[in-house]
Amino acid sequence: MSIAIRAATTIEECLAVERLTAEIWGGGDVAVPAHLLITIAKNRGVVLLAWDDARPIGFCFCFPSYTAERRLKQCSHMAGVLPAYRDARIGEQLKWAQRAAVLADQIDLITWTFDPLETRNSRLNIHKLGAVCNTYLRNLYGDMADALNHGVPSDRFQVDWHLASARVLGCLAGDRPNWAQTAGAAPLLNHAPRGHSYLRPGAPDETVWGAEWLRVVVPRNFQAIKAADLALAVAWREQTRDLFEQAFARGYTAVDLALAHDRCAYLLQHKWRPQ
Amino acid sequence: MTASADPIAIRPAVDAADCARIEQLIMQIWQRGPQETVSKTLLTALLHNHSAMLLAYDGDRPIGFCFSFLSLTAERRLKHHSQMTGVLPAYQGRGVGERLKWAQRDVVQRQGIDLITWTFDPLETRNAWLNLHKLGAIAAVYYRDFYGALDDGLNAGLPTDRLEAQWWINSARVTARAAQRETAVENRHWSEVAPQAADAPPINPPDRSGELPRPGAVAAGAFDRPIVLVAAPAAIAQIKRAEPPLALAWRLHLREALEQAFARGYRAVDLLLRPDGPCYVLAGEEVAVGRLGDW
Repeated sequence: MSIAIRAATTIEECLAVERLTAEIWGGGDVAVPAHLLITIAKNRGVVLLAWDDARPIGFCFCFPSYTAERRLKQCSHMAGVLPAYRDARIGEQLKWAQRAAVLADQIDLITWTFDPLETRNSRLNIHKLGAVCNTYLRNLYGDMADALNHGVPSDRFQVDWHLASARVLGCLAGDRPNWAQTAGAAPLLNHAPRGHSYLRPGAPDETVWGAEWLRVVVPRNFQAIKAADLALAVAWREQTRDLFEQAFARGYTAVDLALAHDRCAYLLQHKWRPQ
Repeated sequence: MTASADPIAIRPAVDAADCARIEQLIMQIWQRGPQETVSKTLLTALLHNHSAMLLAYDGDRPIGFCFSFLSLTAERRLKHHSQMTGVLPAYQGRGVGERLKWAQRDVVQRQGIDLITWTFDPLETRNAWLNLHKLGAIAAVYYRDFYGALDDGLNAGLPTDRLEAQWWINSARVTARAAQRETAVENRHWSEVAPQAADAPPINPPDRSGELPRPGAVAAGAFDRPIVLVAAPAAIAQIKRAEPPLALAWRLHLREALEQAFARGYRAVDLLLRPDGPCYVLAGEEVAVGRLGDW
């Protein structure tokens, strides 16, 4: 395996991205036509392709936008890797290549959205890449037909990736602060009792607001819960929606995701600021 | 037709449901499958990132749309790039596309941004008429084979050359057109402004002796005047059907003429519909387009 990541600039390369979206997601709500990709590539967006020798195996793309403060940023819409390559850290390499390309255009912020209950994505986005989140978007895409999203409101974290921050430089160097150790004993905003075949949300604890560090428990295997018990999946969505919305409104930022054997915990820090 | 008598209403897209309407319209207008449209998730992401996205309705029925995304000029100023504008076939030819563009201008103006760009095929003079004449965009950038080979019927076999329309939406030229569109000066002729230029022969007189016009040569010393005309074929769709090599000849000919003109600082500022065929109006650097509000 010889992996290389390069910018997609021709229609043939954009068609390769179009085919990858169909291969990776198998249709439904994901169509990205090559004509749009090439226009994005020619209009200061960044379209990247990962190759295994001559075979396209992954991609990501972003387009320009601006923040509420009218600061330039890039919005990253999609990143995907063929199933056979999922454990080769190619998604992560694509994101670091995206960072380099965006920084080279003198833009130092990339945002994107993902489902906070898809903890594999949180692990990459927040823990490994060093993005942070204090923006919760309810049912962003409305009802989605594809298998991953069907049946549960499409709530999303919008993460901010401060490309030049000390936090992100640390992640890039593999010198990641051990947040889990710092905050491992932080109060829990919710509890999830043991002893069920699928993790169930317990009662929230409203008494802990105000601590510098807080934790929110989420399940590790949300897709399995959805497949087995849609009502339970919706219950997780509703409880975590409420807790994250409150937390972000109170000035907390999600800065890490810690793993335990049957659950995960988001770590929230009060008044976090990028350095 | 006054606004009150027209049942078509233009409204900004506001949520994922509106994006799903556009996803469906793309499939209907271009006869594409669900894998070939633009997904509502991407449209929603664009909408959340300041896209100027509009829908046209006949009553409750969505019948047209346009959307843009943010981009930067070479000088790093924010601009919008308008990606798609489409109207259901049954509603084409009724000015819906034009109304969508004017509404797009309103949205972009409210963001404090003054430039919208998009690309169009210089052989599609119907689009040039809308873009340059009615909306007041100008074009000074020529892209060879912008999309690469497109296999969609409309473009089959021809390099996908495109002009970049630059729509300076706060300019006097565009503001004047915005004001005039209510007064239905539908065929306002460019020669009202500069008759001596409008009656001049094009720098590339086509051979019109046959049934279909054939491209001529660009005359020697063609660019010796501040305003020159470049002839284009009127019915490119018919030429593509009847004689594909002739369509290619027109493509390469216009490419040469327009690239030469742009290299000399000319900009396409209008399209003239003369009885002998359409002509692009090219203005040299010394012609201050912005001040010629009537163009």
